[in-house]
Amino acid sequence: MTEKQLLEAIHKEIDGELTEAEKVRLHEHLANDAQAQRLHRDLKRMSEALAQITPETPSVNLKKRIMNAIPRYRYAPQAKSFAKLFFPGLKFHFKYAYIFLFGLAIGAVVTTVVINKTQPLNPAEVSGSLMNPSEQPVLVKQFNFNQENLSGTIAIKTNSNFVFTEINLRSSAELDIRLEFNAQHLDFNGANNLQTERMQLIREANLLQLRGATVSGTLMFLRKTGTESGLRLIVLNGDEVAIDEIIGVK
Amino acid sequence: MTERDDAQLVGECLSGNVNAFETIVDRYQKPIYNAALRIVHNRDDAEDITQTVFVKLYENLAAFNPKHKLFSWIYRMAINESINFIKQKRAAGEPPSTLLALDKTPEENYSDAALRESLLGALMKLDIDYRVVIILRHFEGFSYEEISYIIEVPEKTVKSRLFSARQNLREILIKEGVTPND
Repeated sequence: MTEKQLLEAIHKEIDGELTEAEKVRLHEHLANDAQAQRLHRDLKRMSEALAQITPETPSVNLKKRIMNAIPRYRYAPQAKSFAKLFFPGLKFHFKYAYIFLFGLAIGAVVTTVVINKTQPLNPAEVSGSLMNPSEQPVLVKQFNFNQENLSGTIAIKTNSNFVFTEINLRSSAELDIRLEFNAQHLDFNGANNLQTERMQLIREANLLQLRGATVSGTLMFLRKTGTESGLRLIVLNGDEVAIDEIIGVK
Repeated sequence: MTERDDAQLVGECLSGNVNAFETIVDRYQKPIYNAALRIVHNRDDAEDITQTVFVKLYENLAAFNPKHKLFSWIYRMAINESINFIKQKRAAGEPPSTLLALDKTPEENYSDAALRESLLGALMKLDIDYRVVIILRHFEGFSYEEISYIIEVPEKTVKSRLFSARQNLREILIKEGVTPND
């Protein structure tokens, strides 16, 4: 056995990669080579000691940190095929699919032209009178601030049709308020009494963002389904994170 | 109830089921945290790396190839993230993290705990490429083939790197007066 072969055999034995015949050959060699014996014993002992090092447990809030950090609305729930529900034998025909897609494309273009709003929106455009809900909203969560550089409240309320976010915040720095929501469950429906001074409103498919020194008004989200949903509320006061919380809405 | 396999969980995540991702986090946060911890040697940094890895995993779930194990894929991300972290730290001129003060478990006798401490210390003195193969082989029990996928080098390189890593580790221990058979 050459030195290279010997070293390889020792390491392979540690990794459980030697055949029985190779093992016999190795141990025959070791019996007559004290230096190789020492190396073999050291590496084996070291390998056993490494295997005995027990893994540590991360802190209990690591999972919460991870779940708060993921962009949870990235993957929208799949729509159920109602057609299949009523007509289980329904087959897919490409020629009809092309016609349908063509119609859909024309519809999308027309819809975009008709209802497209330039972003960021002018808050004055979305301000209006809040429809008086028939059912009194209940308070889900309220945040109060009474600090030198940030004061006021944010209250999340809901009834069976809407989720209301009542904001009344004043900051000595620049406020950046973001509301992330699942567009499958919630739809931004309008705003009421929004203060327009030094404020900017940006609207995306699943995000509403307000910036300004003073932010006050009520944002209204239509509940599209009866299922539980959630809003991620992030408030940045200058560089400081004042709120980063997911609020479940039943 | 049978446990959902990883590919099934990924499918559920892509259908908008965030709870399925929570199951993935439950399943793998500990080994990923430990792999990062053994590389960067600092608990807070290891937690930050673990968080980054899972966020990147979630963002890239659609690119998951079921031909490979999810665990190996997450590991690949964790190893890359940890190595980048070390490189950035080095580039910024920051000193390497100090050794962890690990508590001895009641079942351990002194020499076991001492050897473990010495081994972890010696591991930190190994070149980062060697350290990574030791962690993957000895702490996580990955095969040569899996290590080859995780660190993106041929299997032959994995073997030679692993053999050299063990011998270097032994030499460091001997230099420090700790022979593995102490």
